[in-house]
Amino acid sequence: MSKLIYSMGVSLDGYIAGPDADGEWAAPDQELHRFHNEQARERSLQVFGSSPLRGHGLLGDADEPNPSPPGDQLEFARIWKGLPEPVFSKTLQTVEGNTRLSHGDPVGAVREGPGRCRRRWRQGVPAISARRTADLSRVPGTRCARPRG
Amino acid sequence: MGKVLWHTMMSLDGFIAGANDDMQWMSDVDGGARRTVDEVLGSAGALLVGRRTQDVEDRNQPGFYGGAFRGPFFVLRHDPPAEPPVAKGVTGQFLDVEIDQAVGVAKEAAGGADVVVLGANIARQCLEAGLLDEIIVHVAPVLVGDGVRLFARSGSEPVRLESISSVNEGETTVLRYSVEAA
Repeated sequence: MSKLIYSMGVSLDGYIAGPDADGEWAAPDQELHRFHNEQARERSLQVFGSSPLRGHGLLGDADEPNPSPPGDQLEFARIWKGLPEPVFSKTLQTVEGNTRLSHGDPVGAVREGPGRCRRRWRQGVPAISARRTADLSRVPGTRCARPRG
Repeated sequence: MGKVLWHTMMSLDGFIAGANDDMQWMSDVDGGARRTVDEVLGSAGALLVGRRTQDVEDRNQPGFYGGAFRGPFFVLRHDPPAEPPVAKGVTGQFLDVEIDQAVGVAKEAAGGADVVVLGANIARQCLEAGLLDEIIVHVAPVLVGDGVRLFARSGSEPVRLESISSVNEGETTVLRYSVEAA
C-alpha cells in the first residue's frame, strides 16, 4: 500500500519560503541533494500546489546555457522526468513538461490515485532550491514544470 | 567565559507556545534521557527570562526546568511589579534595563558559567544585539498550528547559523547551532 508523504525543506524557525517565495536559503548541499534523489526514487507520483510550482518555474533564466550541471542535479533531473506530476491550481491555465494541470479536487484525486502502487507518493515540493530546479531545465531533454501566463 | 544559550522546545511547525501561550502540547512529549537538559543545567549559571515566559511560570508554576534549576534568574520587563518573581521557591529579580545590560547582569551573576535565555522575544533581542552564542532547540513531534513562533521578524535577511550537533532524545530531535560562528 502506498503512503502519502508531505515533504518539505524548512528553516529552523518553521518557514518553507521567505517573503516573495524566496527559497535561496534552502539550497541543498551535496549530501542533502543525494538524500532527495534517494527519496525521489521511491516515489510514483508527486502532487504539487501551484505556489511551489510557480516558485520553481519562474526563478532563473532557462535560456542561459548550463553545459555541465553537477551529477546529483542530473540524477535528480532523470528521476524528476520520470514521475507524473499533477498540479492542482485554480489560477494556472497551462503548464509544461511532464506536469498535468488539474482544476479539480486534490484530495479526491489522491484517493483515486495509483492505489495499488507499492511505491511512495509525495506531496509538496522537493527541497531543491528554485535556482537548482531552473538549472535542471537546462539539461538537454529535461523540462521542469513551468507555468505559463 | 560563559556563553549565552537560547534553549527551547519547538513544535515541528515552528511554535514554542500554542495559542494563548498554551504549553500543554509539550507535556506528554518524551524527551528520553534528557541528556541535553542535564548538560545545559550543568553549564548554566543564570537564567534570563522574558516577560511572557515568566507569565506562563506565574500561571502554571512549572518551574524553570521543572524546578531543577536553583540558581539566580532575571526577568526582563519594562513594567515590573513591586514584588520579585518567584519560581518553585527560588526568588528572582526583575530587570527594567536594555538588553545588553540585562545580559551583562545575568553574566555577572553566572560567574563565568553560561547564561540561558528563555523566551522567543528576549532571545531575538539578544541575537539582534549580537549577544547570543548558541541556539538549542528540542523539536517535538507535534503540529501546533498557531501560537508563538520560534523567531518572528518581518522584512529582514535570513540569519545563517552553523550546525553544532543533531541528536535524537526520546521522541525529540535536539538541534544545536552556533550563532557567533555564522
